[in-house]
Amino acid sequence: MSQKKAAASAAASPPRTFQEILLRLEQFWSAYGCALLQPYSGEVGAGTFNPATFFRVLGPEPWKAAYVEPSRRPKDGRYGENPNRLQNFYQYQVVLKPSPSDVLDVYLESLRHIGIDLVRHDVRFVEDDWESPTLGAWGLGWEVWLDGQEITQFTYFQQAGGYDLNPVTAEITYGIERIACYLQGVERIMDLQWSAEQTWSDLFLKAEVEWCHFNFEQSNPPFLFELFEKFEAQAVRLLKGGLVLPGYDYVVKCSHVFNLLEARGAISVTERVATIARVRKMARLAAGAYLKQREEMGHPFLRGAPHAP
Amino acid sequence: MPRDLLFEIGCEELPASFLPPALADLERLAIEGLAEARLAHGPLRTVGTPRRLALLVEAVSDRQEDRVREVTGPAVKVAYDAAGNATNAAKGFAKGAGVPVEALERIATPKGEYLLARVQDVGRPAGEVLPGILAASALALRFPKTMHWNGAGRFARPVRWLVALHGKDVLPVEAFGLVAGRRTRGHRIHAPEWLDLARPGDYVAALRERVVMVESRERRSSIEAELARAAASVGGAPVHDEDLLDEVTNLVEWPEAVVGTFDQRHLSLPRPVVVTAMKAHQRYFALERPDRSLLPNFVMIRSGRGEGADQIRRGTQAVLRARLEDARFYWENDQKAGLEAKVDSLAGIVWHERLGTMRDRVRRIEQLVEDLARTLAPKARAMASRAAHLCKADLASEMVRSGKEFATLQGIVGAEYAAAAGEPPEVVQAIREHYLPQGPSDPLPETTEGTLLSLADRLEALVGGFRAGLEVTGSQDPYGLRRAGNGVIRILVEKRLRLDVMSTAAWLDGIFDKAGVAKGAGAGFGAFWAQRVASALEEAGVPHDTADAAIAVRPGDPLDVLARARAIEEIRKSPDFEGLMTGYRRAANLLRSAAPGEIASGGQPMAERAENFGAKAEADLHLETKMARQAVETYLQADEPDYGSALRHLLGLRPAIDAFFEAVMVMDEDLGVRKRRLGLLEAVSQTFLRIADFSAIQTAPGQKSV
Repeated sequence: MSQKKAAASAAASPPRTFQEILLRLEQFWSAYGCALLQPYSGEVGAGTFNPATFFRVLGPEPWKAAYVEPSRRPKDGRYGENPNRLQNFYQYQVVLKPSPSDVLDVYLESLRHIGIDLVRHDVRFVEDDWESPTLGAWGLGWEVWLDGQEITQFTYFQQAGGYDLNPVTAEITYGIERIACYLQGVERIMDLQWSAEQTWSDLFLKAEVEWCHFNFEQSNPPFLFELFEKFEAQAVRLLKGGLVLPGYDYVVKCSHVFNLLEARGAISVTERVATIARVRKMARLAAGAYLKQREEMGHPFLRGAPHAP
Repeated sequence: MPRDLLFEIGCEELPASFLPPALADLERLAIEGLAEARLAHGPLRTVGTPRRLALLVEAVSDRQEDRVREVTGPAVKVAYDAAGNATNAAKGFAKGAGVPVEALERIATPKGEYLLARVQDVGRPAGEVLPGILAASALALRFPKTMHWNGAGRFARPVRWLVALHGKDVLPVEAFGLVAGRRTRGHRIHAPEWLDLARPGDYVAALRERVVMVESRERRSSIEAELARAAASVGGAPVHDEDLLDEVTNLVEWPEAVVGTFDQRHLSLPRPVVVTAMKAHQRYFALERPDRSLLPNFVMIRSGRGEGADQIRRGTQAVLRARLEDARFYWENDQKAGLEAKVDSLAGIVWHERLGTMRDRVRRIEQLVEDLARTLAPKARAMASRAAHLCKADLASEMVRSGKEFATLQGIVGAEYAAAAGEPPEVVQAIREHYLPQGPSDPLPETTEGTLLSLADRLEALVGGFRAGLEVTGSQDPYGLRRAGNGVIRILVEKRLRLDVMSTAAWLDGIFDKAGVAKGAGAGFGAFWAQRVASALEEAGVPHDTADAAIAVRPGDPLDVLARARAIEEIRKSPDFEGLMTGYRRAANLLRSAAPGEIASGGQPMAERAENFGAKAEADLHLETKMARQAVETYLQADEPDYGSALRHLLGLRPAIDAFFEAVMVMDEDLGVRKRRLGLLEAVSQTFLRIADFSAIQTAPGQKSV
């Protein structure tokens, strides 16, 4: 693969900063032919919620994209005190559809490109059955371990929004803080060199602590419950009216509100299951609306669009 | 010339646990396929790594064996016309079978004479037959969970290449959207290039050169050697762990040990916690000194060889450090509040929405343990009761609640906290063992206190579970009810404890009722319990009908059911038994067909005076039954009921029963006589029912029931 070689030759010394790792990944996947996209504009728990994954994995059309996703997991916050746990971290997400037959080799090549000399490490693919009950999605794949440390989740999507998927998308989710810690030889995310001049702490520690106060102490559960109801009604109304992306925005908002309620301990065990089922129902509605829309559009990416392989 | 065969399914990394069963299946499927195709062959074996499943067969014949097959055709009467000429039916059959009409033979069958063709199957070349057999074998492999990746078949993970060689020839096996060739690949990182194999015999050596040890057994012994060597370098030995060894064998293509260290101070944590931190996610091996104390070292088995050990060591140590520090954080934090506070905070953990919190459950377990101790082991009452109070405290601990690897240590963590809090050793041990047994081959709790607690824990979960409407259906046991039931039976039987579980369950139901928990529900436990006992009897080799007969009358005490079943099995060997059953069934049938009110006194006609009986046979049966009943009661009242002797007494009733049926007509026209005779039969039947419901017993083969 000539693109791959071009990208590989660009790699030289290991990246010294967090942002340089991102740049290298962008470079690598751009050379591979991916559309480089930007994060979704609302709060999501993972890059999978970005429409560039959730919708594009559906239906027959090919798709190759890569993007950074700031991921919000309110209940994972530790006021910046735990060296590895944050309520807002970054994922680097790559989706390849259909999954190429050499996809694992390409992935390993991307690790070399960000300065990991693989023969000097132990790289292991540890079985992982991935499932997102809120998105009605599941897949099989691995956690990729580098010397015992999980650095990536790799999933072959089998279902999304409750729909079986064919062709199958390969989703590669890099845990970039972990990788950066390893490359920089630091043990706390807070100590990561973000740019040549600033560390992660300089940039985000105050925000992390603030968010933890909000997530665990200051958020307003009755208000959030009310928001959930309203967002849900809005999502269902828009999706039934065929406005796919506006409707999906509100599905994603519901999911985040649910996460906030959970962080606050405001959701009981039974409510939890029922609420997840409500989000899943909306996700299914969104997936169905998207499939219908693309069909009506005549599946434009099947007609030799630049994304086709 | 027979030639060796190689078939390799090259895939992306399979889950370690899938590998051994897949290799066993591949071996079986290949043996069956080759036999069915009449291809002679030499020794056959399968080998594999996470990235490949391979079949190696020596000396596979070049050609199928010839054979003659007999095919039956149309009836002779339609095959020839009146003149003896072959009809179209005969001609068509001959053509289809590929033989001349003149070669057709005749075969006599019970339905008349038919045409027979002897068809000569000439063996086809192996090269034409093998691809189909190999493809079918690959496609028939089954896994606990499968996926698709290109729309051309399902497998545990994507299949990326196939190699199929018969001698030097490639077999074009088609499967998963691939066509087999001679190209395989070495280690993913250390020798990723494609490699052409000239012949099957090169396979193992060629892969070894490319950093793949393809034989599982060789990898396993290599890991053992690496472990021993690495452990010796720090003055210890690996902590023996067969499961971990098996798993790691199937995680790597080329094993090499890397020794790491961790901070000494973590050795003050409980040993199971430290070992779990190494083993659960990381799959590192713990090391111990000759005195069996843990070393502050571990061995990680990397996949690969050569450079980088220092780098890998640094990485693996960092991960383990984080896990051990988590554990230490939990360990220290958990002890600040004390055990009683944890018992209290169980009130914040929902056990089941209809059954209240874990604190409620613990209260019920405490009451049940007290009750069980009273009947089974009064001396153990105090300690068992204390252990019951504390047994779930660890569920409120950070160590278990974190949901991390230490969550698997429930019970063990609780015991460690109890020990650290100065609880007596009996209490600590009971907490430690009360989750035992989890499976059919698990050890049972060793101490009396642990045994009582294990029983109470399971019975509370069962009775509560059925009240809450949980179900066990088919092979599904989502709430572990079946496992809990089996655990109770194993404990009672193997420890020879006499407990009527049905009355314990009724007592427990009362506790639930009093607390107003899950009211109105709760049917189903009885049927479930009878099923569990039946399945235990089946495993003990008791035939179905004997088991049914024994369970039907008093299913509660498994040891007692087993004793009755064994006694029935013994008496069934007696030559008189079938005859006795004939009479018994006749009595049972009459009782069943009798109109309501015809059976005088619910089986209590013993007050009848002998002179009231019209026939001698009737009077005799009355007397004999009365005596048998008294004898049976005596044998049943003993501390260890003697069911064998009781049954022998019942067997002794046979002549009286036979004589009775011989001499009298039960359904006499006189209602009074009829009632009296039916009442007598009812008394006989009730006497039998003291031991078992003999109507479940099936007639021995060759005998006819009346």
